[in-house]
Amino acid sequence: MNAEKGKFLKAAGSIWGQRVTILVAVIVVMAIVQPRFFSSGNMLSILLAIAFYGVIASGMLFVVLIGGIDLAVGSEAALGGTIFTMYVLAHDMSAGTFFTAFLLAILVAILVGLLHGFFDAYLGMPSFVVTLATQYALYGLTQYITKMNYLPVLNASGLFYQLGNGKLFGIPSPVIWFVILAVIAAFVLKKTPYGRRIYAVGGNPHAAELVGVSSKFHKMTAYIICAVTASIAGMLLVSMNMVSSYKMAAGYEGPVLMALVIGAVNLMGGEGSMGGVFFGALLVGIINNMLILIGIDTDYKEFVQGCIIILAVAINVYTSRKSQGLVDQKRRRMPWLNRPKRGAPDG
Amino acid sequence: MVLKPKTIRKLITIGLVIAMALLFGMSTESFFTVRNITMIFRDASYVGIIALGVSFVVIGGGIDLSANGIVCFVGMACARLGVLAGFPAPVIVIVGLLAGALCGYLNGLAVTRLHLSEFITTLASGYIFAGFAVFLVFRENGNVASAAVTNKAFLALGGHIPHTYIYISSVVWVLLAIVVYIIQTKTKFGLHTVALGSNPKSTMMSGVDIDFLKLIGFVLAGLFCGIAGIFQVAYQSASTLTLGDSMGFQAVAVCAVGGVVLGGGKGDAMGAFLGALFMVILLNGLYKISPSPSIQFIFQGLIILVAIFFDTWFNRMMEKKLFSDAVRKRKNQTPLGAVKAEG
Repeated sequence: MNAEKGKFLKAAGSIWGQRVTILVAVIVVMAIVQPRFFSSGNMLSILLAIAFYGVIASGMLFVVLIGGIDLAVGSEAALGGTIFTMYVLAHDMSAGTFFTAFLLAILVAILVGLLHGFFDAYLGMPSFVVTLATQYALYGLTQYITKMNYLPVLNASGLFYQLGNGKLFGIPSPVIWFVILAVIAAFVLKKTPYGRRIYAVGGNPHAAELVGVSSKFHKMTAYIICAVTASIAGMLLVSMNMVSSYKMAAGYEGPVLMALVIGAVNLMGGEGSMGGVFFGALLVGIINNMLILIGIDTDYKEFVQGCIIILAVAINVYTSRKSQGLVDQKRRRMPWLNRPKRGAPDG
Repeated sequence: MVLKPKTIRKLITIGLVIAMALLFGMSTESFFTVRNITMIFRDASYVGIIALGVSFVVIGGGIDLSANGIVCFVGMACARLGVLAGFPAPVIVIVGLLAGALCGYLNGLAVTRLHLSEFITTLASGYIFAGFAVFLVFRENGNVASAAVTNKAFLALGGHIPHTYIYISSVVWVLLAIVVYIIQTKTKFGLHTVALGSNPKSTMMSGVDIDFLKLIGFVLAGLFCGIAGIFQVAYQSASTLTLGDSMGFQAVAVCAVGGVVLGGGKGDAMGAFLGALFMVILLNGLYKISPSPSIQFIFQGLIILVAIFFDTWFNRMMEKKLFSDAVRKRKNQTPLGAVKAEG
């Protein structure tokens, strides 16, 4: 193998090589099957669809990196959006009200995050069950304060309207929010001491404690960041749809986790990057859009998504095991592959 | 007599279940009626049977969230066969069981052969199995339609035992709980599973085929989901695509409440049984007090939190006690190799 070819193969085999290859393959397939895919309207709708998952995923990444999981993001979004709407409905559409409502929702999200962090970091309770339980509790709370009603915002205007419907250079506001939050998350994780310590805590909490990194503090803040981004997503949703309901973000944890996993984030903690999550969210969005464009019944959507997760994770695991030299066992099971070539010198 | 921590933990759970039942019994008239109690046992049997199966995986250190998909798929398969006139009921049951076990086997293969993580595999395969059900669903002019199951012998499975108020599913649940308890505490397979959950590496080192254990765990989880699916379809006499919704998460939560904690190596079938009973009594009692779903949701969440908190605290305390006991023992011993002073 000459050097040129080796370099190319190495680039294609690297993690970003694989990602670009998959994206290009999907887009080529789309170009053949449905040229409407490339219309600018469709591109924007893909971006808009992934924006909400992406906003939550950029916060969830922190929690997954420290080795936890937050299954309550859907209910956190519903609670944040509902509080935001109720405050605005009770007052007016002025900028002052908007900022107060926004801060109020963020404050509640911080409280929820503190609660999660306290249960995980201080009491040592498994985050999976804790957040499952708070998911029930927060949905119940949201239903209780809304009396199970939809809250339509009929006279939306001003900043409340602009939050979800505004446009900058033709790009919808939720997409801008997603990009900004993703860039911030990537910067914090890559370039700040706090971000590097998040990886350290996720990789080995005990070792992190020994070198003086407080795993409790980092766990708490990670849960708070996740709850805040979920709350922001909820407010964006409310503002875009101009209606708030307790089930507006129900089941969002599935696609968010999917984006994380396709982006090669290790659910055990300590591995993953914002770039991967961005790619994961993009692929999930494109595939969802593709299913709609091809005209597949929406009932099959989850089936196809499930298959794609398994495929993505299987490829991911296979390549990482191969790089660690763990895949050779196949040879032992298929001994004829080990047979020396005819004419090859013995020994 | 000194009780083991495991026994104390179980006694506390039993006490909690009884205390809660008494509390609800005192606050509402209609709680301690034969009708209500049989209803509690019927509702608990569906999630309880699933929790029994899932407990194999959880004790082995894994997690299985695919129960919703398996229940949906098995339910739809049984409903498909159940509408055919004159189709033998035992065949329907066997097909249901096989379908469940097959789903579990696929999960197990993905985990042991492809080395995928249990969490994400079963989350995704839940979607996939629910997708199988979408392929099977009844359609009229392309729209999803429902059809009533007409097979009398099959429908009898969802009803009472003749001349009593007891549902067949609750009897099967109790029997299965006993069988699973014996398997988990008395047989080699069960003990190996506990070892796998406590320390997979040393279990593998001591010559146990851990991949096989995991595979069997998943197959059993799938099989039990199949049983639950069959009973649920027989009771409702029709299958919908929402059958078994959120069962996957609920089964794990039920296990955790009963002391079968994520991470493995702790708890047994009795915990899963009590956890399911606890949860269903709670929901039933709350419904009797206030039929608003919001209050039920809030309390369900809070109670799970309290149960997990208690469990974590208890385990920590027991670990501390074991540690301090060991230290005390060590102090009383003469140091190794030292000559005991005479006199």
